[in-house]
Amino acid sequence: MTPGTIGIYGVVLALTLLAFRVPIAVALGAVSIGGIMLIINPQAGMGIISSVPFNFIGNWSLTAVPMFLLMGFVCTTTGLTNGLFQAMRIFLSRMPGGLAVTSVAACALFASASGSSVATASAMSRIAVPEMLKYKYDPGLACGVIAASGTLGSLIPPSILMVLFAIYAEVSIGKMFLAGFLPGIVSALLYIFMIVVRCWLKPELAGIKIDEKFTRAEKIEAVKNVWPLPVLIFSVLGGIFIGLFSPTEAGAIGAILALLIALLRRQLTFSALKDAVVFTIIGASGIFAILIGTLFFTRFLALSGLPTELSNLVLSLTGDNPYLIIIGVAIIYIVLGMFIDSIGLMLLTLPIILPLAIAADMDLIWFGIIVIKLLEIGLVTPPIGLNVYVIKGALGGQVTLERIFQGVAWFIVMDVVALSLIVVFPELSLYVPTLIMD
Amino acid sequence: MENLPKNLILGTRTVSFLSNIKVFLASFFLILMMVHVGADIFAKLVFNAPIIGTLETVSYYYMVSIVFLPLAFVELRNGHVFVDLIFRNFPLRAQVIVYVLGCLISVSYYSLFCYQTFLDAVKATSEQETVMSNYLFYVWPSRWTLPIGSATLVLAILLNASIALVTGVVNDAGGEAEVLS
Repeated sequence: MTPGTIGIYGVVLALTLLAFRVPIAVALGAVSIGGIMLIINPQAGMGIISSVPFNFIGNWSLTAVPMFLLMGFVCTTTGLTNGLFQAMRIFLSRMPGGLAVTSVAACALFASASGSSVATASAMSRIAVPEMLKYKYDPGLACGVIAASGTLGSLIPPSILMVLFAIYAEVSIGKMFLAGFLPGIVSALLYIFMIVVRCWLKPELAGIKIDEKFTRAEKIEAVKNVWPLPVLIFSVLGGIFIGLFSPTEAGAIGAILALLIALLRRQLTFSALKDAVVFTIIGASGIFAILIGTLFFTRFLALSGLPTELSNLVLSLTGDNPYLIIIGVAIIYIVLGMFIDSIGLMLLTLPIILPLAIAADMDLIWFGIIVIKLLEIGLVTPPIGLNVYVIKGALGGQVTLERIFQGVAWFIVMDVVALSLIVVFPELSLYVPTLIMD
Repeated sequence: MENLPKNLILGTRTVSFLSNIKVFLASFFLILMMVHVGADIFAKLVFNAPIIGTLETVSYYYMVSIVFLPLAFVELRNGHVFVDLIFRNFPLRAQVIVYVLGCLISVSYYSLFCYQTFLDAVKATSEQETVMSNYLFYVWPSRWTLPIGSATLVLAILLNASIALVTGVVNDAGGEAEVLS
């Protein structure tokens, strides 16, 4: 067998193993080690085990991952994220579809701090959806807004997906964070715009008109509940941008700040800290087990020559047109996004997709933002959007799956608009990083 | 749990005990990582003097421990990310067979991993392995986290596979995987 053939069989075998519930880490790792043994010799296969994991994991940049995970879990386990929705509605409920607009803003903050789309959808569906249903909001809108807004977390920095992409593609984590900022805000504003216009044209979507008057005292109380997350996020980002600490160190600062804020608010308990630490460890160990598999897979594919052949083939079809490549990547992510969550899917596909982007001479920061936006869209597209299922799970029989998908459809339209803007105007991603860092 | 044969209960206790010790260590290193990095930044900003060796200690000791020590714990909590969309539509008996076969692949992979990293750790220990730095920094102790982590992981996978064989159902907690994306 030629190396190229072994490469193709390897990819097919890895996907087959995945379908049979073999963990992603093992499917990638086992196939790669076996493949390298076949292409070169058994010693080479063992040599990769010897050289890659220890040297790669003992890497300063990677420490950002457990630290940002810890920051996110501290925010959720100590309850810094509680009260966010209730407080923000005081400021936003006057707008058409006010509670839905509040949800977008609350989800964006929650997701940015927690770094997890699915955790955001899960928590906010328990808080915000019942509230919207109480005011007779259209159930599709109520659920759709939470499913979609949860996805804002990976684009609005700090974001674990960005850290992992930046490390794998060898680009600056700081630039990646900056690049995601505008696309994230634009996505959120598009959601809000769509909600306001729809509720203005069709007021029954937003149910009973809420005529709440809030006192000054209530507003002050609300600010007290809202401040922790914006302060946390802006201190972390601000510190990076003015150069107080590096993006890698920012994770530790974020975790310390989150703990201090929780302490200040008397919300820091031993069990909350313990939960945050255990969740972080499970998350980090699981992510890096996959990442090691990805690194083995990258070595294996490189030896088989498959990525080069594939790039040549794709480029001969697409010419210099990067849009066609992006459409191809979009199709892959929408299909595979039905089965695999965003981190797993990104780590699974980067060994094949990144060489394509490099061969087509795309800006890797811009490409990274597109990849992340696509991965997040995959979380809400039918027939299987992970976020949609999480919300359905949280609400039980109250709303049907079809209804949620109908509600999400409007948000997907806005996502496609946002994605097109990101693709057509690379400046949207690249302007802020060049402004601050060059 | 109560319906399991005695030796499996004993196995569960042993593996849980081993994995808990390592998770405790990993948790300790996680907190230490946060404090150490924070202290280094503080020292840099306030005294203009970083703590020497922060980068090496954090990367080679804490990071490596946080990643490799908890592998078995993650397996026991069903936290390794997998795809069960097709799998969960299989009949129960087929699920058990496919799951056990999958476990055998995992066991082979991590056994190879354990074997090779064990040899590396022995070699590094005998050579008192160091890394390039502006002072002498020993890395050989952290080499041991790889074989120790993967060996316990192999035990945990074997345990999960035996439990599935005995009970006839695949235990799918899987909840932890959700919080990751």
